[in-house]
Amino acid sequence: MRDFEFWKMAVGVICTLGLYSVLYRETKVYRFFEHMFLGLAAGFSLVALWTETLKSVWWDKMVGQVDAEGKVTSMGYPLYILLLPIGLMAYFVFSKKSNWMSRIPIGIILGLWAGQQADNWIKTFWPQIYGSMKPIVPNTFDPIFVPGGAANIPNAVYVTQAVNNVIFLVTLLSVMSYFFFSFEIKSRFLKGTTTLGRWLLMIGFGAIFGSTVMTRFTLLIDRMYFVFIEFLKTNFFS
Amino acid sequence: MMNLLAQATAPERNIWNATPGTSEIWIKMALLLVVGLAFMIGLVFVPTRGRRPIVMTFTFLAGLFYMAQLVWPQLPQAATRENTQGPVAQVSFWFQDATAVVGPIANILTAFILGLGIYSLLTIHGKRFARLQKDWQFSLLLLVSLFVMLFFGYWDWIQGLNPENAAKLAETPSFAGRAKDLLFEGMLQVMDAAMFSLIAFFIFSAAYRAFRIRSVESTILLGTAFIMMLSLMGALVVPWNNFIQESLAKGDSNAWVNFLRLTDISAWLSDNIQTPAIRAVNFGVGIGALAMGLRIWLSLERGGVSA
Amino acid sequence: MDNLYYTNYSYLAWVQIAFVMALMATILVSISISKRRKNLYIRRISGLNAIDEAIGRATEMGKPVLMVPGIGGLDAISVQALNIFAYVTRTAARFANPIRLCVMDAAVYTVAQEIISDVYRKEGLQERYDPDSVRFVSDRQFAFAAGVSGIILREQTAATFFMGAFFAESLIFAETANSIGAIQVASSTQTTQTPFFIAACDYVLIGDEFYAASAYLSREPVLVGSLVGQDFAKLAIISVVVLGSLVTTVQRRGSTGTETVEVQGQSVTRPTFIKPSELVMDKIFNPRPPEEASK
Repeated sequence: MRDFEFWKMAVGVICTLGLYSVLYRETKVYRFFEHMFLGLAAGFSLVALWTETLKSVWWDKMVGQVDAEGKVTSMGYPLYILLLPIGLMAYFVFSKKSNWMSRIPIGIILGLWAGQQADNWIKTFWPQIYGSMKPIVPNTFDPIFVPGGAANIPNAVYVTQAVNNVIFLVTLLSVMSYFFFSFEIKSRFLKGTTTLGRWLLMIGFGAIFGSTVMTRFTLLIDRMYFVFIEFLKTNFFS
Repeated sequence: MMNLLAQATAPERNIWNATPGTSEIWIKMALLLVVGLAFMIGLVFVPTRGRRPIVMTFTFLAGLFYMAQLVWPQLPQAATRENTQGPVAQVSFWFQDATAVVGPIANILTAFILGLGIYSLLTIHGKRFARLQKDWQFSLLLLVSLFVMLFFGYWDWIQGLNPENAAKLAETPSFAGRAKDLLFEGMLQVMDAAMFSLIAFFIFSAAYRAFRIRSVESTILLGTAFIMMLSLMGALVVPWNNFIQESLAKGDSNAWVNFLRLTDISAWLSDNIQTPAIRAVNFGVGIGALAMGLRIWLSLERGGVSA
Repeated sequence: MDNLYYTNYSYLAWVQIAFVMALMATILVSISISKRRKNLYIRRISGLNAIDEAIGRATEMGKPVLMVPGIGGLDAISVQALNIFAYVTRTAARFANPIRLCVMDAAVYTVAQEIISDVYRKEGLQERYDPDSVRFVSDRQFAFAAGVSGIILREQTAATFFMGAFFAESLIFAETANSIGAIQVASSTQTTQTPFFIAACDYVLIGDEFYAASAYLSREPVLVGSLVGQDFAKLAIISVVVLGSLVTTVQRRGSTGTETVEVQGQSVTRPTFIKPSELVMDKIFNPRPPEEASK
């Protein structure tokens, strides 16, 4: 008699293979697992909706909290209830006459997002702008390459570093030049710059592609381990 | 207004709050709900001309909170209400407290709206099942899975609400707990992982196809990708790097040929090309988002949401 | 509190706020100027010219057009994607081509439903509008991926548009659509996903070509003006980077003196150089009280 864990894993293996079947073709098997997946996901979202979101961030704050001894730990703020009718306004989207009302909750969500953008911009890009300011002339010529270990003098700019910094800046500026939309570029130099920018960008994208391949492959190996080792080998061949 | 958002510490009473469990809080909630619903119904009768300003006002006010917070003087962490006085500091403290309240509003509203998404799912699949259209069996399966998950999810949650019960259930799971475990961990999470791992197959088919397109750009992209991939394959990197270090550099760690080590090449590419190239793209994207945020906040965007 | 200071104004911290305000002012001024000017130039964006071609192909084949506005929540990215999709839908509506718009976020679903029904109404083609063509598929990333893949394969969508914030699932969509020979126009604001779209799709909008798209397609003065302003903002960033590099280069030139230190048991005399914390740019970009800076 197999235990619960065995059956749970067996179901998992079947689900995995069912979804993998799409690699061959879209069949009734895939359709079966796809719809089950979508149903379970929606059901879980509705569970998490209350148990993980609304209960803690809305209801508990609205009605307040009392601990086991009856001592009040946080007061209730009844005004939170106003968010309910505002949220309900979204449901007017299907109404022919009043569908505009759905734009009120949408406007609030977007407004909250929009208001944060200036602050977000500073937090994200201010350090990046600073990080792009690099010295382009070396202050020491001996040695040419950055020496390792104790020979490395603190705060020195070696020749190779200066060269790399120039390459860094050329890449940054030429890629940015590709993203100008409203200036008509007529000079041959600038046309060359934008082309160079696109090529350098492709190197950058290639580097991302190459370094992601391996991590994605690890995911596949992990699933294969689940099916072949954790399930098949442990339960049937050991 | 100050006390509404600056939630007072535990039992401190003010005009905005109420003691939990009293009838006062329920009456206040009921009254406010009625007011809110009345406001909602009132909006139905707003003439066309008045609609846009209403939406604009809500959007503007929502954004104004964060914009005002950005420009209002902010205090260092060491500042407390006890050691810092003055009207400017008071408003700064108010902003600090209010952020905790304003922050989740978008989340709460999105949560309320989720029902609309589920409604879309239910109507599409409900109709298909009711009319016995093509694939109605699968739509039925979707609806059944949804309700089974919903049922066991909440049953399990309710059982765990009682702390004594929860301790007991941790040792010997109930039927509901087992069922939820099977559905969530055994199926839902496993299917997530399975779908995610499919990418491994797709990444190779995409690379293979891109290799066959002979354009300068795709060659550059895949050439770089190839070098990066090699530099992550330990079985290849170790002998190659050893060859460079031992045979070419003769053990001198400062020799220039060391640069030909695969790990050095990939690190150089990533530091001097990838980083600035991607940063350049992100500078543009960042400005795009900033501009779009501004247009949305001031309702300058036409054709879209605020039309 | 002794020596009270404001973290966003004291010690040159105000520069960052002033800078971002200046960028926003540039954009607003440029919007207001462009309202008076006509025919502003926008450079060619090939991915956008392909939209009509893609829809045309779908019409010929009598297959639906699929659109996915990314998997992020309701923000400028999804709104911008929907703005582009409004254009796609308008063209598809004129050719009486069916559409499928699959959404992962319920709030985005609400906006999509509004925008799409609006497109059909403005075109006077209400009878062609099917509310079920805008679908909430799932709010769980990989369930959504499975559902959209299913739709692509079953309905054999002939043209697909993936635009917005995509993450790991980008390749699942792009490769699935590719396997049925769909013509694909894609764009991700996530630079980590763009390479996969480049490898798998026919046309890709890179970076803020995505934000330029609505101006390009509509030639709306507000949007074009904003685009001009954005260009000036980028120019400002370039100037700051170049200027900062020059100042840093000048400041870091030559040595400041010599010091004798113990290195592996030997005493060595070597030059000293200016510390990064003493640079002018560091004071501007890393504002902090002097006692913290010296640490």
